[in-house]
Amino acid sequence: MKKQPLLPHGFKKIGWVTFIAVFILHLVGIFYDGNLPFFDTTFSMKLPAIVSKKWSGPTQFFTLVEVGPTLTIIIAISLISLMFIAFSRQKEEDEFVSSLRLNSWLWAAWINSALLLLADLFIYNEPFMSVVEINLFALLIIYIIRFHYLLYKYSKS
Amino acid sequence: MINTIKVQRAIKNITQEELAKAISVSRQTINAMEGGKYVPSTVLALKLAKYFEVTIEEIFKLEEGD
Repeated sequence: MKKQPLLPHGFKKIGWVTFIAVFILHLVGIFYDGNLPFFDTTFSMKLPAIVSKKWSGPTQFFTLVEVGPTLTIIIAISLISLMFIAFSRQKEEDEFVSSLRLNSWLWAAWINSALLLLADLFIYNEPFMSVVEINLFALLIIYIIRFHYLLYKYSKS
Repeated sequence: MINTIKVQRAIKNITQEELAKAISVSRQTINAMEGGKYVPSTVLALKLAKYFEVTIEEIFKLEEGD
C-alpha cells in the first residue's frame, strides 16, 4: 500500500502534551482576564510581515511590524500541536485506519462549512471576530474528535 | 458481502488481537471486518486466506444484491 504523508507516531504524544499545556495556560489567562501575571503584556518586538495595516493607516506589504508576539506564538503553538495530533501515524496505521481518516476529514469539512455558513448568516459585528478565531482551529479539532471516536468505536467488540 | 473471519478465527482458536498481529493490521480492522462494517482490500483478503490456509472464497462470499 502507498504510504500516506503522515508524521511518525511519536509526534502524537508531543502534540497532546503541548496542546493540553497551552489550553490550561489559556484557561488561566481567561481567569486573569487576559493579563497573565507571568506575561509581560507590554513586551513588543519587530517581526516580519507579508501584509499589515493599523486601523487608521496605509496597507503595508513585506514590512517589519512592531507587535506583541504573545498571541502569535500561542496560536502557532496551538496549531502545531493540533497538527501533530491530527497528522501523526497511528501505532497500527493500516488501510482501515486510512478509511477512518478519510471519513473523519469529510465529516470535519462538512461540519466546519456548515458552522461557517451559520455564523455568516446569524453573527454580526464584533462577535464575528471570534468566529474567525474559533475557525482557526475548528477543522482540526472536529477531525481529531471524529477520528478518535471512530477508533474507540471499533476497538470495542 | 458476508465473511467467515470469526468462524475461521474460532477454528484456529485465536483472539482478534492475535490475528491482527499475525497479519499486521490494527485490532479495529479485524473488528470492523467481522462486524461487516469494512470490506478489506484484495491484499488484505489474500493475507487472511494465506494465514487461515483456505481460499478467499471460503472467507468471503457475495450476498444477494451485491
